[in-house]
Amino acid sequence: MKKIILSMALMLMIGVSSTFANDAEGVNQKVINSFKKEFANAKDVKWESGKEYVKATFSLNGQILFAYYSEGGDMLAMTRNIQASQLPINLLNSVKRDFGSYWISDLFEMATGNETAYFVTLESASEIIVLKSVDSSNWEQFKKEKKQAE
Amino acid sequence: MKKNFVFAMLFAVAVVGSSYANDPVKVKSIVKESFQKTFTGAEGVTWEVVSSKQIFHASFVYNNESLNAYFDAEGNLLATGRYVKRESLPMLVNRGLTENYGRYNVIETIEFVANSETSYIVKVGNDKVTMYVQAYNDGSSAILKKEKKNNVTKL
Repeated sequence: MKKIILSMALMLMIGVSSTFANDAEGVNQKVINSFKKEFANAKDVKWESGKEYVKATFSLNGQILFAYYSEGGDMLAMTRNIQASQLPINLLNSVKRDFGSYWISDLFEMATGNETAYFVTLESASEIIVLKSVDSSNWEQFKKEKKQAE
Repeated sequence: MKKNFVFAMLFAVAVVGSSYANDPVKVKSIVKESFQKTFTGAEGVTWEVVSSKQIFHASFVYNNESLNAYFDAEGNLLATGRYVKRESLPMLVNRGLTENYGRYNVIETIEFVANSETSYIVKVGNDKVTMYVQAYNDGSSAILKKEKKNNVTKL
């Protein structure tokens, strides 16, 4: 499961190229059936097809969610962008305490199977750090890179 | 077992009708020191002591978040809790609640951290019952308490 989380996270962060298709045309029927079963009340569904996954963007209970499916119709992951205040309190306090001088440029929650993970991208003038948490209590460094001088 | 006991005790204190001492609060210095160390920079701290259990409850603002923390008499942090909006619940928790308690209204949600484990205490109900549910990050949940409402009809 950890492997799936990491590969999904990488895929989301590097932005694997995909083709937009606002309607379900061209999307595998197995994927559509699986999606409808899982998210019966979803609204405003938009589809994108990548090489290794099909992505649905939709609204559910007033929130924008993203669901990723394999061509076989298995849901690989579900994600949503969140605000810092929506992080579990230990994670929020840790970011504020340890990275007070950084700003948050990306923050999302990812559910794979029955596991929840959080990824936060923090930036300073000189570097970008991505942290992940799989236990809702502690962060671990996922990625760190220096910014290139312009 | 100890973990379950601590949780049950805190649940009784924090969520379901707590019985705080009416006397002026005397907080042990070891508890205050532990609090200061754990929540350095906390503001607006108020203390309550649970009369029978010797649990010290601090309400305060930390990093712009209203929090509650519970300490034992030796200054050990037992748990922290804060009210959160339903939309702040993790997606799997929300989905689990919808699947299992979709026919009830969600009345309030509390994020509860004890022993480094985060769970959510959710009060749900309808016109007949009120229930307290503990929901976990994997979407599972358990009913902690169920109360029937006394419906009094006026003639």
